[in-house]
Amino acid sequence: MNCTKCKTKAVIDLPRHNAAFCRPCFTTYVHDQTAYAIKHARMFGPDDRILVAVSGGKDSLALWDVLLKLGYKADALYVDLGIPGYSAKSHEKVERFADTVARPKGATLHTHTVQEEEGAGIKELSNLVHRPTCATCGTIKRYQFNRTAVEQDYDVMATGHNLDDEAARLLGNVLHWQEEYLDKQSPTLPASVEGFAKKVKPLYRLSERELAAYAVLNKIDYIVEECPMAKGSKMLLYKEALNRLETDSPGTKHRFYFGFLDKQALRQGSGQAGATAPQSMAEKDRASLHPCNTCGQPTTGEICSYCKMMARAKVGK
Amino acid sequence: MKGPKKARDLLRELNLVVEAHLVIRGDELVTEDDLLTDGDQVEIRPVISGGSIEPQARGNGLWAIGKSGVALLQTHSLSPVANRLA
Repeated sequence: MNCTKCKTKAVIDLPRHNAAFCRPCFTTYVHDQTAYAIKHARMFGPDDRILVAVSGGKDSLALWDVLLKLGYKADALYVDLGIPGYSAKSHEKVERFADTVARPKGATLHTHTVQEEEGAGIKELSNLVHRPTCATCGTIKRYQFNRTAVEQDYDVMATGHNLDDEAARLLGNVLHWQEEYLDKQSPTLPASVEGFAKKVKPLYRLSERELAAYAVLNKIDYIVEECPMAKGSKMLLYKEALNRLETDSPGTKHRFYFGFLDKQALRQGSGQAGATAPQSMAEKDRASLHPCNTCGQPTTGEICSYCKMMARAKVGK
Repeated sequence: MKGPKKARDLLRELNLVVEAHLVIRGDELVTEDDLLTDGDQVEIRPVISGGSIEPQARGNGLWAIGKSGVALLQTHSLSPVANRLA
């Protein structure tokens, strides 16, 4: 199998594009797809300061790598969750990448340690507040990434969500008719109210397989093992179902997610006959959010979910 | 199973979905059409993130191709060998 562009031996085939690429052409493909996503979804410009959420996994490290290689000012934040046998390893991967790739390009790695600020590791915290570990983790990460982006004046926060993540999330939302979550599936979420950072997903055009291949081909040393707390995740089930469909019918994930984005844009642009034109997410946020009484971050209640959780954790100790 | 065998066929015989895995020989990616021969050791690396099931159940890890068949040498959950190859 030869490279579609330069006809040398290919190292990866992409059935959804009816193409195959050698190492250099595949790297160019990943960079081009990311650059197109950034421009098309109006994510950020060449002078903006970007905060990348990194975990030590392939997607977030590949994102940091691509943004730096495209010449963007991209720093990163790693949240150390204190998961025995896992967090130390993922932290080591992030530090190694920062030392070998990011810091030589002038980038900064911020680290937030849950044990230090929240007073316990993620498992103990989730037990104290009687919530699933993944929900506790999500609350802490969303809060700390947003807080760092806002307090340190970053223009935008970038996450490594890829095509598979977005297609699986869409499938989950549609299967359960959670229409209220569909607005949040855009690759660019605006800084709708004071205290919220703009959030973007520059890898939404690339599949997990493509990003894993990018990491291998560019010698990005990432943590292959999954988080031990995430066993039995529904998201994994949706991804596996979509991958079976994708293998038999290449392009399924792309058509599913991009078809949704096209319809969403059409609906929000024109409004449908007989239906009220949907409010934009920013308008909805402005109508429902106000500062948390404790920390000042935007919330729908009097106290945000993070502060509520921390208060419950203190009582439980 | 014996070599020579296409990477695609190896994944199929292990009941693994092509879209969810990479096949790595040494530090090189192997395309679906590439032939694996007797004596090859390949890493089958899962690409899905966002949750996990037991790696053994998904055939992930380091595999050896031989005249008498294919053998799992190491899984990713115990992965010093697989990581060294990556």
